[in-house]
Amino acid sequence: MYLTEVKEWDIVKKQFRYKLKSYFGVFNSMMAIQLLAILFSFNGTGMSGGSSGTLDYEVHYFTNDIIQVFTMIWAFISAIIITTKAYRYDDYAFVTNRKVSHYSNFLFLFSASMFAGVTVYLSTHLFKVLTHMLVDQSSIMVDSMTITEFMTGTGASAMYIFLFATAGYFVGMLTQFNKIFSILLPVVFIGALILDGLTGNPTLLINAATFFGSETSFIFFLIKVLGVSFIFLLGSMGISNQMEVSK
Amino acid sequence: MNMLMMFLPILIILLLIAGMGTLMVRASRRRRVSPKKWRRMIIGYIIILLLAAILSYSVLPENAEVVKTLSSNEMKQIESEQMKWMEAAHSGKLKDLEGVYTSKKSWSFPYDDSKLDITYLGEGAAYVMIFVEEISKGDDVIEAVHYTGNVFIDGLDMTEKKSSAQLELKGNILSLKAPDLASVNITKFSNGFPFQQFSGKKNGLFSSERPSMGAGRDFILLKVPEGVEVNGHTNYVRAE
Repeated sequence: MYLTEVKEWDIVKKQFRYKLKSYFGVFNSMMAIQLLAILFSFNGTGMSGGSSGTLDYEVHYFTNDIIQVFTMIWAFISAIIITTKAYRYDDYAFVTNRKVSHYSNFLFLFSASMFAGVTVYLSTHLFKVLTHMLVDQSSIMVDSMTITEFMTGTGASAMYIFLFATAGYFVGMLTQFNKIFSILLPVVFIGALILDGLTGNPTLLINAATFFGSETSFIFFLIKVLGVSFIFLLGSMGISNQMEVSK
Repeated sequence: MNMLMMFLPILIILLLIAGMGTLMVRASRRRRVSPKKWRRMIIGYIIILLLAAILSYSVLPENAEVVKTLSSNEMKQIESEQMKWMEAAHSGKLKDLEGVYTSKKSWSFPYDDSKLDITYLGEGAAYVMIFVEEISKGDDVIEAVHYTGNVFIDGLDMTEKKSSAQLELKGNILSLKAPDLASVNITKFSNGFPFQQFSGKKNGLFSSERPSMGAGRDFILLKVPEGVEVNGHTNYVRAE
């Protein structure tokens, strides 16, 4: 019997609130990376041209793909950073255990991903306005977007970021478990890509990306992303249980 | 070595992002910049993004066209309708053109001769077909309309950008000059891949299909008074 009963969920909420304030630098790095991505996007993502008898055309393509990809990499790296000792030991300022710490980290990653998803969409407008001012083209065309496309697009953008964040969290936990993984994982990843490329028929990245990217139903896509993220969470929790206790 | 060079840009970008991210997060932890300043920076960034979104929605549409990209199926349907019309025209049936072909220009020439010769001027004029229809009623007037088929570039309808053919009547010779070559230089903002994945325009994220349709055929529909004998480069003459 204790004087104060501690509820697990209350501590998760407290830690989550604390992390939102304490990890604020994560959002500043996101801002810097998105601005860098906008700069990189000015070059365009492609160009095509041709002639169809009576019409000679040249099309310069601009998309927010670079902003999206950079933000996904940012999420991956930020998630690795919050698994480092300095961040993990912050949690012991509260009455806590590892499970609670993981839950609050996942809540933080989820909310950060949602925020990042919205800023990706908004930064596309900043990119459009800047391109409009700086690029001299005869006609500018903007793809129309329905409300449903906007909702599913922003949601999918945030989900892709969350997927990378949870993958980063898992990789971070692996690295914390044994430092050898910090060398082994990049070597295996890049080595596998090179070997895959050497075969002339790359399948590794394609298969992984097709699993999410070829999904045309938003609900199934959501299930896939959340399912894989859940596996990463379980994996991270499993790894941290094998780690020695903090002193 | 080549393989390494291929991965080099990706590695540089990854290192750049990793470096920037780590530095900024660490800097915020070491409190070199006060949390208030960090917060102000983020709030400022969000305000800039919101202002850009408002600008993009309010100012851009005045200078940029918000276009609906057609799906490959929609384009195939338009193409199929135009093909059907063309097949019917070649077999003597001029169906209703409304909604099938786009009219670019129309002419009306007063005419009271009994013979009409059609000639092509310059290269490329033969590309434009001529269908002649005899009309029994009306005045002694030759009516001509230039119709053009749709041209799509990456799902964008570019038919409006095409130039019109030129027709000139001198005596009893009607001369046709091909449309001038129109040039378009387009800056196209497409929604990013998460937005396109569920839009139905693509078959998922990795569809490399860039829907575009070949040159839409151009033709002149000529309506001549009954009894006028038409000679020259015509594709079909039909009496009403």
